[in-house]
Amino acid sequence: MKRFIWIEVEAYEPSKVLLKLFKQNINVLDVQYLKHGLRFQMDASQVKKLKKIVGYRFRKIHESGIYAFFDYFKQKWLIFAGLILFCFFLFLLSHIMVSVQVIHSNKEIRELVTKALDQYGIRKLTLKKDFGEISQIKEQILKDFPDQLEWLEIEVSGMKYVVRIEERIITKQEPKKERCHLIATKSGIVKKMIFSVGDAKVAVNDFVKEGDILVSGELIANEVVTGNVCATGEVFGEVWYTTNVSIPLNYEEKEETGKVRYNLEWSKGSLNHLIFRPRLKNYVDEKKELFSLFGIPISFVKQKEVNVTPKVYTEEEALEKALQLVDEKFNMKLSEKEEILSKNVLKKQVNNSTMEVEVFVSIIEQISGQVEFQENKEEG
Amino acid sequence: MQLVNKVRSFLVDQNYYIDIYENNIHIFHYIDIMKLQNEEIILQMDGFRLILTGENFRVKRLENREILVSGLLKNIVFER
Repeated sequence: MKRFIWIEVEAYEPSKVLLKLFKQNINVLDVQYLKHGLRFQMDASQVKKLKKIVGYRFRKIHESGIYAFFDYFKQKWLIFAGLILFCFFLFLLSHIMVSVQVIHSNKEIRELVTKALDQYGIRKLTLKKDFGEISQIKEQILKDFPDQLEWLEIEVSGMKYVVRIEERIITKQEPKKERCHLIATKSGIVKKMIFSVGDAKVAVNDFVKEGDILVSGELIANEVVTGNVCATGEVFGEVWYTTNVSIPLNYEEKEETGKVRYNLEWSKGSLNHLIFRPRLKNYVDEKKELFSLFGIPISFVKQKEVNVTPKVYTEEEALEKALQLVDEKFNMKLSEKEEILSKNVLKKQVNNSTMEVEVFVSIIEQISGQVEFQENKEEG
Repeated sequence: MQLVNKVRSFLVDQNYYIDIYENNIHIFHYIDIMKLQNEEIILQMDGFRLILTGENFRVKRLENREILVSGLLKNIVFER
């Protein structure tokens, strides 16, 4: 393929230039007349002949055809190189996974799954796997650990894998007890008895001590044991506790002014760092994670200005707060069938802007538990 | 182009030929350019001189044995 180039020359009499080109046996094509010169195409192999023409300065404008592209590429190689690098970087950003986050409360399960994922190539700073591969790995891991894993989901979230697990809990069936009593696990006054099997040894409003038999598994008729069963049921009783609560009398009341400023934040471990200097003196913030850059979460922060007013509890308010805390503390432990019956303040004392309160609490709660016993075999 | 010329010379058994279009003059097998100006072009052909007169002559293509000129042709003279 012949290579042609475009040449430009300054000349007040273009015909003279053409005659000189003719004398040098230079073929010219697509001649264009400019205001003060000529522009034409010529065979690149004849360029050397132009040097023989004295008095004119021939200037190469550009190549023609595919060579024009090569020439352009040669001139702008830095831009092209940058473009290629940018594409490569973009590819890396969209295909490299920077972290694997395994979500489960059990550390052993987390470690087990992390190790298995690593074995199948799901680890940080590797190329993103496609949907088919991820599905296969999921199935394989579930097959490898049938006793430990119930369900597993590998989610691709931006540049990280988020792995959610459901642990398989194999409940061992307890052997059925043949002979058991319901005994008191705590001392208290019996308030309610619900039992299906057994012989009641106490009645409602009886005081029982820890270890007393509430419902017996021995069935007695005419003072003779006629049979043994496993006493089943629940016994609720009134039990008492004393608890101490400490309440600081000084506190701060925060009131929003309506002024809002926005910021960005990055986190590393448990430490959070604001990207821009906060412009509000006192504020409360709301955060929303935007994206994760190489495993570092970047969050959008909405800072709401607040007026902070120092306040002091009165004795009544502090006492009320203390009783609320007692309620919260016990309600966390109680089931639906259990309840707080009453609360009485035994002692209150103010020390260095703190109120110490001793509270007597009366609670209705389950006081029964099953205990197995051996059969009494009468000799003879 | 060489191949085309060879085919042409094979098909057209002429020493030269001149094509005149509305605003273009295409001349093959000239020997030399004697004069090349906007109003007049003189070409040495095989055995005669070709004198073209007109206005605003502009060379569009100039090769070894072929020239394409655009412009308003008013007169053509074969000088022997």
